[in-house]
Amino acid sequence: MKPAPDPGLIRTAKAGDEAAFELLLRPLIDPAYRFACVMLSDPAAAEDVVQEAAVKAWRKLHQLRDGYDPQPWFFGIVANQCRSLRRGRWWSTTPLADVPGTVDAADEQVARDEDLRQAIQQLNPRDRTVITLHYFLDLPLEEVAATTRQSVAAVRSQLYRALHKMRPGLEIPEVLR
Amino acid sequence: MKDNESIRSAVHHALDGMVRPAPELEAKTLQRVRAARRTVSRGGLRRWSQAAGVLAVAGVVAVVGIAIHQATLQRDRQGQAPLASPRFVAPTSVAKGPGAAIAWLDNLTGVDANGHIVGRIQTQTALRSADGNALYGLADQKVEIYSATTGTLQRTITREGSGDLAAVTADGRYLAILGGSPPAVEMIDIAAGRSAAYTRLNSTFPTGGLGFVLVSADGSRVVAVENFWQKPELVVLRFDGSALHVEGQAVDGEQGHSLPTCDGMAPQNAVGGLPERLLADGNTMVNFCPGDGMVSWVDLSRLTITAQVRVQEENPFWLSPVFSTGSMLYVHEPGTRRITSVDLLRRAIVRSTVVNASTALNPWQWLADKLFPPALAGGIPRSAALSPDGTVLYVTAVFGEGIGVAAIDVHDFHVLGHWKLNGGGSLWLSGDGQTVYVTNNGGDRLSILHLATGSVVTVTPTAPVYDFLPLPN
Repeated sequence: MKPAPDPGLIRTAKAGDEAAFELLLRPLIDPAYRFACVMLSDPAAAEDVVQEAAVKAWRKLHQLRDGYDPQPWFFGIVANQCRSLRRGRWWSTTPLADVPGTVDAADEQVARDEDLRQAIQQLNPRDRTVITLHYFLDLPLEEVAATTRQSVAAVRSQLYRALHKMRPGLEIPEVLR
Repeated sequence: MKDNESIRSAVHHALDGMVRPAPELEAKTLQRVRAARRTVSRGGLRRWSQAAGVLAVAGVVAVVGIAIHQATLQRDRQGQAPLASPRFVAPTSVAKGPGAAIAWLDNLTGVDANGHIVGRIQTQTALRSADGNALYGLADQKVEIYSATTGTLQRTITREGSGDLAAVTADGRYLAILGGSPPAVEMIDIAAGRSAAYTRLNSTFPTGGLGFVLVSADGSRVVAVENFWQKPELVVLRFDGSALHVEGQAVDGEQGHSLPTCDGMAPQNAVGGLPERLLADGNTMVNFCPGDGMVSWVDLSRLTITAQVRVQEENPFWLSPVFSTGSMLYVHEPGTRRITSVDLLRRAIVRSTVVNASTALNPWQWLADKLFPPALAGGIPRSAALSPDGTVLYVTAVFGEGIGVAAIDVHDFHVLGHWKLNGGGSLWLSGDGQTVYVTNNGGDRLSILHLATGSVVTVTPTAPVYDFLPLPN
């Protein structure tokens, strides 16, 4: 469990202290980027989204309550940014050179990874969000719930359904039952 | 029972490969926030939400914000376009509004400099306002006014007619509309939000052919032309603010009148519309015909041609005329890379030169030219645009496998800079002069070139894009 941020830091940042805001933001940038990469399947666009989300976070900082964990709050902004970007683009971005290429079927592990990656990418954005937050960014259910503005029970149920969609025959973890 | 941790491990394994290392992201993100903070601080505002309440200041902040956004985002999206003349500095302007920085494609979709859609509109015919901030949609008996920044409908003005040929005055106040049945000219007072005048033309005035309407800078004179293909007919009207009065009417070849014609497919296919201009004296109309390269001057008092010059051309289906806000006409032929400038006051060709900007990017261009004569079927791209101050002409040209955008000094046709990117179709310059949007020849690729940095965002439309809604000049 990561340590909760100092409530005083949020107050200082909200008072206009640039250094305090950066202290809050720094540890969130990399996980936010990893989150956006999965949501968009486009690292370059993910970088754009994180930068845009950071500016929005600064503008909306007054909405962050003292003592509240900024991580789910920031991830919520990133998720919204990803959603609006996907909604706003009717074209596909030029494929990047380092997008995963063809898979050697002989390599079973690579094939399994590719299979799972495709299954996650085929999920709808809401399901992909909770899967990514919980299983890729390792957020506890409570933080996934805070990010997606749902109850923990709703998140648990959504994870259950998403896993089932990915793998109809998958054994569902006890924690989600 | 599948263990939650084993799923987590599998997901990590599968998704780790989707994350490209971004070692500079933290620094860039913090820098971006600092830049945004400084921008707002300079305006004396702590929050953007507060700034939104102060429209004038918000406009300035938005322009600066857009510039910062452009400077920090798109480089990461695709990188630099090779620039032959790195010292080139693009002329810029703040004369137009922030909406003029948004490109509106021919499918009525607005795209910002980062390649993101800002909005879409649905209307039969659309044109842009003089300041670039609005789009006018012509529907039956109404004019819809949309925000060019968001595409949202802002106002609707009721009109009497249903014409679909329109021109906006340079001061942005009036919209002159020609067409409908019976044929009529109508003046819309955009500022007042009402139809200011409506007058039916002679019942013999043709409709439905190749026509256009021109309006003087202050709206006091309106010129309606129909049957431009052959035996054109022209009506000149004066507008006094509340009524339109017919001053003159003529048919080519009758009663001693002579009017320019433009036969052939070229003008019909011209995506940019017919190339014509009413000069500042309000009494001279200039027409360019891509079909034969003829530039004609018409005295609107005498209703007759007073001068003509012919621009050298090789392919009437691929010419792009650009009028300056002053008194120049530039004709660009991308296939041959020939540019011709015509002084509309002196009524003479000033310069006609093949510009070799693109050959520097392809040493075998001369061979490609010999083997593959330039041709394009089905439409005429708008391949050139003029900087806001009228000193630089941006053109896109095809050369073998390489396609680029070049910045040309209009005075001596010296190449100021050129960039290799996937152009070759239509080209549009943002109203602030900072961004060039260019489609490729097939219309399935849109490249957005940021002149200050040389960075390019390339996007692939799901449906072909051939042209942009032009900004009036």
